[in-house]
Amino acid sequence: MNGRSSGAALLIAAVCLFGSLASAQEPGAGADAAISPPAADAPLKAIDQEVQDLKSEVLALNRDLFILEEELLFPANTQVTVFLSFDVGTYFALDGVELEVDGKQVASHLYTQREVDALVRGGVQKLFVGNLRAGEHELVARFTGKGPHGRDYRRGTTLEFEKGLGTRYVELQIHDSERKQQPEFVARVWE
Amino acid sequence: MGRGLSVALLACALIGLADDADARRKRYEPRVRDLHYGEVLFHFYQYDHFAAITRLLAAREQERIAHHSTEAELLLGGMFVSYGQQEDAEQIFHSLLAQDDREEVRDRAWFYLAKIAYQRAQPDRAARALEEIGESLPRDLDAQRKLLASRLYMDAGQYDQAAAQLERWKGSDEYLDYARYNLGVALVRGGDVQRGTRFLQRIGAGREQPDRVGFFGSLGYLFTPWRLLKREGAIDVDLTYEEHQALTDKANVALGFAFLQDDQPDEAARYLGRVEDASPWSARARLGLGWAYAAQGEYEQALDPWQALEAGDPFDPAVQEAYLAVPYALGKLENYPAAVDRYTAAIGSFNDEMARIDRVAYDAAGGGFLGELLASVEGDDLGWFWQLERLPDTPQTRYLYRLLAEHSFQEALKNYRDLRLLRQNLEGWREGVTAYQDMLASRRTRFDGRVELMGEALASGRLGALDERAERVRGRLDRVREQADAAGLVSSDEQAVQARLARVRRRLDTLPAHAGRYTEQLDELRNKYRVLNGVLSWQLEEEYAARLWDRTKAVHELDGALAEAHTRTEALLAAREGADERLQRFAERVEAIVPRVDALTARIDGLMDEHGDYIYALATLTLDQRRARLAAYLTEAQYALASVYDSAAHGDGP
Repeated sequence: MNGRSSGAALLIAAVCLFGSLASAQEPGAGADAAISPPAADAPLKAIDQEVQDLKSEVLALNRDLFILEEELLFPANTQVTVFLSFDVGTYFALDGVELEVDGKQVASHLYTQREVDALVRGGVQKLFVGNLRAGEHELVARFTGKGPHGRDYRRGTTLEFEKGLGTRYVELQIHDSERKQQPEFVARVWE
Repeated sequence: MGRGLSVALLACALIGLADDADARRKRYEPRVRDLHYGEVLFHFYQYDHFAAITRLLAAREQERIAHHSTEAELLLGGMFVSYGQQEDAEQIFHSLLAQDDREEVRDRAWFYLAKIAYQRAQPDRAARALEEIGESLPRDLDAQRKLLASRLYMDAGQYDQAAAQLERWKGSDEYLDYARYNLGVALVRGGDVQRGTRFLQRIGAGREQPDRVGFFGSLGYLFTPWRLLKREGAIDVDLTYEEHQALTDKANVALGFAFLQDDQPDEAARYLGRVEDASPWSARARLGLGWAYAAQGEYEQALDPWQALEAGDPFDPAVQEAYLAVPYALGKLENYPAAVDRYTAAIGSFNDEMARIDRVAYDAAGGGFLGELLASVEGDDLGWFWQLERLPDTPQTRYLYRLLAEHSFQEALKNYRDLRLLRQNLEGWREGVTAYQDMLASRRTRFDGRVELMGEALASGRLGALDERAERVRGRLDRVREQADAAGLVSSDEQAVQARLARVRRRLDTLPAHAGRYTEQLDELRNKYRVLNGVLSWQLEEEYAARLWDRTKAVHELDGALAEAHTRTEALLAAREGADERLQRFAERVEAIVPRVDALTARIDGLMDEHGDYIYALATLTLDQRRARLAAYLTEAQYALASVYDSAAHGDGP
């Protein structure tokens, strides 16, 4: 190796290895001398702290507004919230759901793969929140998707429930029936 | 270390606290015991962390997640770590340590505290926190602990201890590969090329592409780490096959250059030749491969990778190096005309490049590039797990390519993007708050209208008048009862009959007792009157008891109805007071929000300006450095060109 080649190789080697701990830097990192001027890091730290403070306050604000919004739009004495959950989900791949209350459609949802994954992992979707008068009500949920062996599947479940004072929570649950090798759809009121 | 938190860790941490997910639950027993906690998880699992944190904070405030309080705190703390809210996170984990004596909770809390300390460049605190961890971390989390410990040892230059952590490895191979890479590079950097090479070789061998397992295939997904953040990989990354291949290529490049550095060009060529053409590291590999051949005097062979590289992206520093390397090899092969042509072309290219940099620097002074960068990034979640991976293809960003790979720039840009998203969030709420104010105003108007109607109804004294009339009726009925006055219970029809009989009586009284030939007819009329009057009196007397009962019952019913009217009036008055107070409270709460939103918006605007200036300063610095490097290349090319002319004239090599 002559002066140019050995010098360049050493230079490149040093540069390549400098600061190249495994990280997902774009390729090309290490191609030049590292750019982290000490003078430039100080303001970043200060800004970081300020950003942290701001985020904390914005989160607190969001919390307060979230609560205010619910209390304002859905007072406890008329609020009804419908949740949807999965339990395992081996026999049913959910595509969509339609929800009727007292014969009127109040919600419908088509699911993305990401949402289905979240449900299968144990997430619970807030499908509908609305206001109902005290008294008897009927809820009908219709589920569409792929059942066992990839067949198109459409099933419904009905629930009659009493709305009294205080918020009423209803859970629509899709779970596997090992005995029937089929999905089951259940609607129940949380006490 | 970056702010990313492997959700794999978090998921494992949470699952570890929950029952085994082995589907042996009772038939309808919910997997979450508080629906609102499930809702938080629904957003968390979709990477919508801002929504998840907001809902978790709200649910905690509303006391809706009592059954998951410890898990919720761990989740919140973990998300705060990811979100860069180390202070909030620390507070949560310290609070857990103070309140919960279960080892599995304490070990997790100490682990996250160690992580936070490492993020905050406090290695001693991180090490102390790691020492507090007992034996109850789940396998994956324990693997992460070892990685963190190895990073701490590496940072301190204690490579033997770092290696010892990795040699007792029991975690996934993906994490181990990053750890091996880190350690290999650290050892090479520390001068122990032989040991470093051993670690790197174990990655450089690559691996088979795995079969993909269907998502619904098993319950294993619960324990499958998610890939959230591709930074500080040793701690935070679940490797896909493609990422592993990139790491393998990176290891081979590192090995190749390490052997070049160690003056073993044949070994260098062996590793550099393994790097795939499609790899992000291929340009560097080709450059190194050329130098490996050149170092062995194989200039013809060196030309192959260099000339392939010449056709690459002219903004790539490796390609610019190739502009110099190709004529260098041609000169060595004594092909002077071609060498002169290539050096001349390189000089032109470097000059053009410097002119372009000057133009880009001038354009960047306008500050527009930052907006372009941010506009190119998809998604609207806050950027805890966000990283600039795909760059918009603009002259500015292509020149800033090197800068964009820098951690400090990514941190700064991520902060800037977070600020912009926070601002959008506030703008949304600002509109929402205005809508709430309108809604409350309209409720107030409607309420005031109702109150006015109520006021009129109350002021009209209708209920009072009814009370008085009812009192009079009760008085009359009492008198009838006291005097047994059957005539007092006469009906309205009977009253009409009585009136007619009275008129008949008055007419009969005006007639003479003897009226000649009409006397008999008059007597008959008087008899008829007496009979009819007697019948009416008899009827009243006969039905007195029944009528008294009916009237008494009707008066009772009237009393009940009046009492109901009084109750309703009082309830309305109370409701009016309550609704008035409620409306007032809501109005006050909404009003209090407005200055908070405005103040935060103003602070964010100021910080965005400041941050934009900082990013611009970093960008300018990069452009200056790039220009300086091109100027050095230009000088080198001009010198080499002169040297080639000289060699061609004298007939010897440069």
